[in-house]
Amino acid sequence: MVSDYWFFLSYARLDAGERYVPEFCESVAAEVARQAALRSQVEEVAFRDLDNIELGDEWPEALTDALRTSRTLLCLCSTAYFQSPMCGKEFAFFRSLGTHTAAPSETQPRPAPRIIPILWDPLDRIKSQMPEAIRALQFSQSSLGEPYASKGARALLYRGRTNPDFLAFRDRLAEIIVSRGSELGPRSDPTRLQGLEHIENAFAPSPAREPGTAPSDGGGSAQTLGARTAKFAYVVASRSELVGVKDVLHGYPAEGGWAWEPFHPDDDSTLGLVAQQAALSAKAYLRELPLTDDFIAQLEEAERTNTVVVVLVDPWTLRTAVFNDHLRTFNGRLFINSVVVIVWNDRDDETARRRAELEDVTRQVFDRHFLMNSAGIKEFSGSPDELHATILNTITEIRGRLMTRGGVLQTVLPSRQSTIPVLSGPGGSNP
Amino acid sequence: MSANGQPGRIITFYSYKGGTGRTMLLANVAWILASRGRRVLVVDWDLEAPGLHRYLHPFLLDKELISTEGVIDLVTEYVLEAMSPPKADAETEWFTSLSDVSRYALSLDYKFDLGGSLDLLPAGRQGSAYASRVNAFGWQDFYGRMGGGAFIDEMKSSMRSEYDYVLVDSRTGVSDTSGICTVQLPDILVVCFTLNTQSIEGAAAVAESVRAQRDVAIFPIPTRVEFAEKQKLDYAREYARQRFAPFIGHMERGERESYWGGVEVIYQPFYAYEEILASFADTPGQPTSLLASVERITSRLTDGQVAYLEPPAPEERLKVLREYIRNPDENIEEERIADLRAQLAELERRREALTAEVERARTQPRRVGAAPAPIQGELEGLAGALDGAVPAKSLDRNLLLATWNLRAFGDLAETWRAGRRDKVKRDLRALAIIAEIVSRFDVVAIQEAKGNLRALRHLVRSLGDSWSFITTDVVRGAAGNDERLAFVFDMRRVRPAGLASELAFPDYELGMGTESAFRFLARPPYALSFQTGDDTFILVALHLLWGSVSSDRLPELRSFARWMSDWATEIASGGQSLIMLGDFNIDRLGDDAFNVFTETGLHPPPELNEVPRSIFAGKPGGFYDQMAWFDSPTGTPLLTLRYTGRAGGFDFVPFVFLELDRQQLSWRVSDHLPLWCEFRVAGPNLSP
Repeated sequence: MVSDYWFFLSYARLDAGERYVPEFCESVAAEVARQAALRSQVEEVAFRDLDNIELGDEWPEALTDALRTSRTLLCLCSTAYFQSPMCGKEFAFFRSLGTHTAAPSETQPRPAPRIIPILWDPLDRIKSQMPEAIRALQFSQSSLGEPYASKGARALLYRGRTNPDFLAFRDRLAEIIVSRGSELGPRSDPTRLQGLEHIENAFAPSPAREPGTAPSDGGGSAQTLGARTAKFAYVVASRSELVGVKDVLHGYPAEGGWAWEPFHPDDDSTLGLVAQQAALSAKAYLRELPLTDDFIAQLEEAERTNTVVVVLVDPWTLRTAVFNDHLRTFNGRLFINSVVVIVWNDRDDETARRRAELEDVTRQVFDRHFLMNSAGIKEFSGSPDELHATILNTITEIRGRLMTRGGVLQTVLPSRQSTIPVLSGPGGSNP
Repeated sequence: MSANGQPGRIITFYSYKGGTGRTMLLANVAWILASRGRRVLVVDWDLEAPGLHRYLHPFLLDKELISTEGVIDLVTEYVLEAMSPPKADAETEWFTSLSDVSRYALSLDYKFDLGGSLDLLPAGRQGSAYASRVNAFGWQDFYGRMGGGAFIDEMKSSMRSEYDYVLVDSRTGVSDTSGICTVQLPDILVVCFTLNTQSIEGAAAVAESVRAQRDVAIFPIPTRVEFAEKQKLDYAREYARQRFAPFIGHMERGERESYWGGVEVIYQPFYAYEEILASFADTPGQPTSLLASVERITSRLTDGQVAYLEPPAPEERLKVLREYIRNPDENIEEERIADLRAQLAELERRREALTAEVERARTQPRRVGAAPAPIQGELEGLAGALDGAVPAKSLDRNLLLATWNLRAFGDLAETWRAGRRDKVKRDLRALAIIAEIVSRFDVVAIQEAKGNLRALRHLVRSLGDSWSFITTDVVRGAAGNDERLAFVFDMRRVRPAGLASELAFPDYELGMGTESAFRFLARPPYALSFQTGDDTFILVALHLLWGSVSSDRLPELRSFARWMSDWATEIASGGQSLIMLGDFNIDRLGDDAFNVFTETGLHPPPELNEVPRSIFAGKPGGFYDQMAWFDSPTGTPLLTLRYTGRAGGFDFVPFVFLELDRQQLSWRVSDHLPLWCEFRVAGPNLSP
């Protein structure tokens, strides 16, 4: 039987409010079923990937089928959502199915858009990151009620599934889903289009990079500097550059950069993916810092604007000339906002065998940092989870340093209390 | 804005050392407040060791808070924004929405009967990075460079505007965050300490340090009090009292004693093993329980406005307890579980037994010989009418108080039908009618009981074994009219609680003489205290006599009203209620005598305003009988019982003695109609 979902719920699984997504989905689906007088189960009304995909299903296949047979698409907009390549693809795929882009004509009014963006986080938090693709929908958020428009759906759900603000919002949302879903009807021609793997991320700045799972830089209009942003430089040479430096190049991508697999052969996580997830955990906007000739100028600008910079380094790459130059310049400077993390792949025999030799190189390139035992350099070896934790902690530490030494860029509130209240215990006060 | 339009109060719970039971106390106070209809926010500001959510996990969707943000995220958001370049298209001030706590507060998934709510502002999203986020946050820079002090003030106003009470769980010691929690945030500071030198010294030094910076009300609370070493305990208590004396110096000597006696939290090993709310684990009404301690403390913190838990219904309580116990993360000893289950089973058993008893008493024939069939029919009709007019007695839920002036309630003709020749007109039929009406209430104040107690005794006997009465002696002399005041009450539901007193007033209070002379009014008010569940209340029965022209006695009436008002305030501060009922001898709503009372804050419930008092329909005025209590100057009732909003009279005329005229009826039943009010009570009185 061909399914006919009233909505497909597109959300980022790395979102901070993930625990509340099932609650949201069920509540909206139940109300849609009620309003549309359906005698359906919640899972027949709505598609939410983890629920509806059974173990062993071909992932993208089940997903594309669901997208093809859903009347509307609800996007739970958050920082994580905009940065998720998978969500960007779901969005692009659904959009490519048509109707909402049909040009209006004199005789036929433009059909209602099938895509409904929901503010999962408050608008003021995510506005600057919102990709053009979502802005272009011009959805009127205020039509779903003021409490929702100012706080976002997740905060309403925090106040309980029966709180009146949430219910008012949910009922109105269900009305919109039902009215658009009825107007547009079930998908009549679920023809086989191209699979999800060939679709480009709608949230990525064009042109999208190869291969498909490139960590997203978000939309072009997004804010690219400031304490909320974390820039990553991936110091990984291309295969051709490494020829003659390293014998076995498994795990190294042709182009170098973020797609390196630093846990090869045990695990195929890429450096870029781990970095992206760590940035999301830190609620940072992820940007790539390209290793161009103005690398140092970019670092200076980042420092001026309190932008966090993490430079992830493959030790083998330090033996190639071009990268070596950039990093030697870095070695000459101390940035409060930037940290170099040297990523050792202990699982790689060749690296393990020649570790001492490679360490000499890293100590030459970053001699000043090593000499000063500076906070600007770290070495890592371990599992993907441990790398995630290392990067996350690095971002947190840098933010802590910026808090003490970085510039305050906004006009802050005048304060009656300009020092923290100090308590005295039996032994006197704290320092 | 909080429910009564006032900004909410922020109460910080602090201890110098950990392990004092501070968080447990906070969680329980919060629950009691919410159970009594208050909107409450609890804030976990113990960022280094958050744990408040553990007490509330059965009501949280995200039990471990791995998806939920909190205090550290809120201040971090502010800092990140302050350190980002200004946005070109900013529409409002950049910090406006950042201090809005409602974006972060989680509501517990629990419906409080009286409309209260309990929200949690957690410490922050838990997970691997939590600790490093807390450690990396520079509070000194936050204040020194980023206007953090003003931001915290903004947060304060946001919290106060949304809640009646905000309870903040503070960090221990003298850290940065404990300074913020104890000095900048609170209106009231609760300082918890165990009875050892280190804990007492630390807490007292911090309290002094706070007092030196801000005028905050401070409540020292000894916790984990153990009785094993009596002598050491006495010594430690005395030491603590001396050390904290400056903070409760504003109290009278006697009040200080009752303060220290009341706020101690006794060590209960049960609670040392698990995070569970006493509102669910303890049976209400046991004075040595943790719950009772917390109730007394809550009363202190709220100026007596909230003194008792509105207990959950037994089935709800059982459900939540299962939630607490079921949690696989909790390491509860099997024995404890068995204890809890036994306690619950006992609660259920007593409740069922009491309910059955009430039902049996209601349906079984009274001990007076069975009435002849026509009278039986009349009584059934009356019972049906009462069912529709008066709320049913519900064992652990409500309390029905009534007042009734029974015309010349003295002698009785012990026959079912008093004839024309009988001098005494009140017969067994009349008494059965009165008994049927009285049986619908828990306490009835009866006026115009006469020197002859025959009818009264007979009434109580016919009501059954569980009923009793207390009466004053007769007031002799013309003004006394050979009358007494009596209370008839159902002991299954209430029992006398110690106080029984005719009230005498110093002359100077009544504006007529010197300090040394005391005066009884012609018919002195009679005060009696009762207990039901864990609520204690004092009823003052009146049958006032102010002289023929009421304006003659206005000054006297005013003094009397003020005196009563002061007393009511005092009683409320001790967590009890004072209710006045009886014949106020007031001509009508809005007259001078009435206004004298209302000026002092005495108000009858508006539901009684239109209720007729007299069986004589055309009789003017008729505002004599009244039930009333005092409001505080801010307009909140000085009651710990909660008035349900249901009150009324009962007009028996259409149902009884249909063959007689009203004048004749008035000598048999009464010329007055009974008045009643319904209150909610804290819970079942489980004393066996």
